Amino acid sequence: MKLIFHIFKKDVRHHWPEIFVPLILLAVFAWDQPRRWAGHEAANRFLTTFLNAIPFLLILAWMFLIVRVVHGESLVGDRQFWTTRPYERTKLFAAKLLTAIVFLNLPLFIAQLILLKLSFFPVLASIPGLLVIHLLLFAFLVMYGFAIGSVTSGMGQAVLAVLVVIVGLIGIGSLFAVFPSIEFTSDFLSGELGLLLLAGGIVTALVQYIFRRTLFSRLLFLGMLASVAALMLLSMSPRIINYNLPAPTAEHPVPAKFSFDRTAAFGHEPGQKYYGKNVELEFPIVVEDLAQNTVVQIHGIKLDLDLPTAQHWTSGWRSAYDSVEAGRTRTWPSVELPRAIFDPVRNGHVNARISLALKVYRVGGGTALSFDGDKLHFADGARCAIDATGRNVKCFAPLKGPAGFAIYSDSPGSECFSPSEEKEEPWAPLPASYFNFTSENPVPDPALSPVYDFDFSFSRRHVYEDLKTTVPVCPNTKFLFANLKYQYTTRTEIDLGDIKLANYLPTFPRKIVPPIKRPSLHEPSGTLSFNLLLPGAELIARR
Amino acid sequence: MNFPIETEYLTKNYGRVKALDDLTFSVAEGGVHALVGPNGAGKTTLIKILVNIFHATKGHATVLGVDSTSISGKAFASIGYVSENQQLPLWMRVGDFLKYLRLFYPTWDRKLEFALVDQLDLPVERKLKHLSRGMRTKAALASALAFRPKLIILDEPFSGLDPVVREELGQALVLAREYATTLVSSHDLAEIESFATHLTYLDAGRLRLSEDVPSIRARFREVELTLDAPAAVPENLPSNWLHASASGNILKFIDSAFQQEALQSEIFHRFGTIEHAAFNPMTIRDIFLAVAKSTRKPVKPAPLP
Repeated sequence: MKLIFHIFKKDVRHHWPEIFVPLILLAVFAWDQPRRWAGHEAANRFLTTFLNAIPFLLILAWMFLIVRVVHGESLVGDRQFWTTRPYERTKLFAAKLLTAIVFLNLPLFIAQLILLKLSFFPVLASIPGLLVIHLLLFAFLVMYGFAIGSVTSGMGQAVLAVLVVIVGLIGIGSLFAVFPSIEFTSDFLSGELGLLLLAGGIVTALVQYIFRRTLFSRLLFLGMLASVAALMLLSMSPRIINYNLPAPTAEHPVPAKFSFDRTAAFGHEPGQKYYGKNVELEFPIVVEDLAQNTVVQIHGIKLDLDLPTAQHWTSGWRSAYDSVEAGRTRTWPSVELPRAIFDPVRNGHVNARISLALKVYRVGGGTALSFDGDKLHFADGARCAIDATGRNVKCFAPLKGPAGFAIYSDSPGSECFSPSEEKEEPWAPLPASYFNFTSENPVPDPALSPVYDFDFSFSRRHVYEDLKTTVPVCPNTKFLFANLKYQYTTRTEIDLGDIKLANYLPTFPRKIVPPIKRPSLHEPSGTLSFNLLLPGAELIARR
Repeated sequence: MNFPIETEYLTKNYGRVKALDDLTFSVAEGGVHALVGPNGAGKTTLIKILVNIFHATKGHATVLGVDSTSISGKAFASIGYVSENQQLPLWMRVGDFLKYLRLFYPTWDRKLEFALVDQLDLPVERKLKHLSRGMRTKAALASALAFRPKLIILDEPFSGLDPVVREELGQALVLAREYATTLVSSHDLAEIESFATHLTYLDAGRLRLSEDVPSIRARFREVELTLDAPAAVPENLPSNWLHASASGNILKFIDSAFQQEALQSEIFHRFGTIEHAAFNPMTIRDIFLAVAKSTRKPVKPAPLP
């Protein structure tokens, strides 16, 4: 222990500038956070940019500190004086860890406690969550710093290694852009990939500190990054996609009837032109028989075309961003198509099918809530307020946001209305709503600030249910809140038959034919949302 | 007798290059053991294997009874190692450097540290980065001697140093003979001749000679025979007669296993009565030159254009 402190004191004496810089940055970060919560902006653009860059600069400064401290007793090469002195590598490693903990984790932990106190969130109750954040920080920042420091001999090499890691991560990230299907398989291996990334830094640093085999450690480090990419590519096999998006079963059926509405299309004027390499098609899908207490997240779409040239084209699975809930009658999933495919067949007939990836959620019992003026005490201790735009609710929660939830409001109402949007296209007979599909996660959000901020707003669908508009949130607005509990994932395939693709290319301005008549709203309008949530909502509605 | 260093069939390859070739030798306890040889002879490789910086391709070595591949951490509390190109913490002052190292060594002797600082004239307040190369080597040597190591291993410590510094380092090593065995490598014999008690000569990774200095001096003689008639170099000379040459009536050679009576008898047997025989003692430097020449292939002169 004596030697550990001895090496630690030496490092502090030598590396005080590297220690000092992140401490200053952290102090600025802690000073700036409450200002951000209050919506204050910096005096000038330079200061704004600097303050926005603080988390990035902090991570950079911490990385620099760790690498420099590790380089103090470099593990690379055969000329270091310490390798032929009675240094025990376990104690050396412990001393370096101590430096990281004392000058990285500890000040951040203190700053986080102060921020929690300043934000009036419970400090003591948040400590276990904070410790989890610090464990993650330790594994993904400190240990990667150790790994990079231990396999490089100087700052030049270390910067190169950081660039390799960044390029590697960008490469892994770009796999999502090049192969959108990965998004539907990454869940399958997310545990393994997470473990691999977690192990990357820890294993490399430990192997190098124990065995001091630089080439082996470097290969190990690169190998782990390469394995992440390789695993992601391997996971794109159709078997894994099918495993991740299983076909419906009796136990897990398609939660509603999805069928193609052959009568609806976009009304094109002659001579309309389109630009760009891709076109985005939208298909009208009728939704029927969705259970009252169910919300379905449509998170993926695949379009298959049998072209007249006897060729088959598939978009592969791509992300989709829609959801259907009780009361919805249709959805308009969209998919991108290259012009090279679209142009030759746009006015001809092609046989088409779309597949939708569906996540099914059960809606829990509803709770009636209302804003207290413009303030709101929300789920999981979150505190919210209507922001200056009057259409957005800004929330703050300790450590992480709430798990999946649905909110319904009968906005715009007579006291809080938004006539301009309705003039464009009438509202659908649905309440304004907001769905958050975040899954229940015991791990806090791994961010530097312990105060997690998130927004929500109420959106209302227009009559074709293809568009929605964010409606105002007025002081004292009443709404229904319900938890969303994930049930299962499945997929469904919808045969579109022989279609003319051009009919599903949106016009600008949008014009859907045939026009739908303005529906009559339930009366009184204030009970719309209550009618959609059973059985808890009924109780509230009767009050 | 104890042997703080022993090697058996030690071989180290760098790709196709053999830096050490089946090297078996030992260093007896006490004294200053000089490891000499030309550049590229394998001295540094041998030393780095001994202190577990490199691993042997074949064979093994023990240092203070421990397998060299296991030497790390606490084992270095008994070994003082200084190398010409070692990277020291240059940001430290000399005094802080010695103070920092104190805690690592249970046997660190503060009085000896002060004596070494004094003897080597070290500026304790100056940072290592502001010292000359010679001064840095002296600081490293002080840090390697102040804990009274059982074994001192020095890799080319005198390289590029001025004669005064060499003398100071040499004196420090002579004093260290009281408690330590020293292995010191050099490519220049003159640097260590004055205080070495044993000599090991390496060439192209092979051991050519390893003996104590008095025995080497006793074993080598430059022999000059004056014959009755013009001399020619006879064929089938004994293998210990090196570099035989003839000029007029004079025949010269170096006897590498000198024993006067046996040599006289061999001369009589080969040449009968001779006019005169001189058996001249040799300097260590001349002995090594003779050994070096005898182990090298003769260089063929290039053909004239």
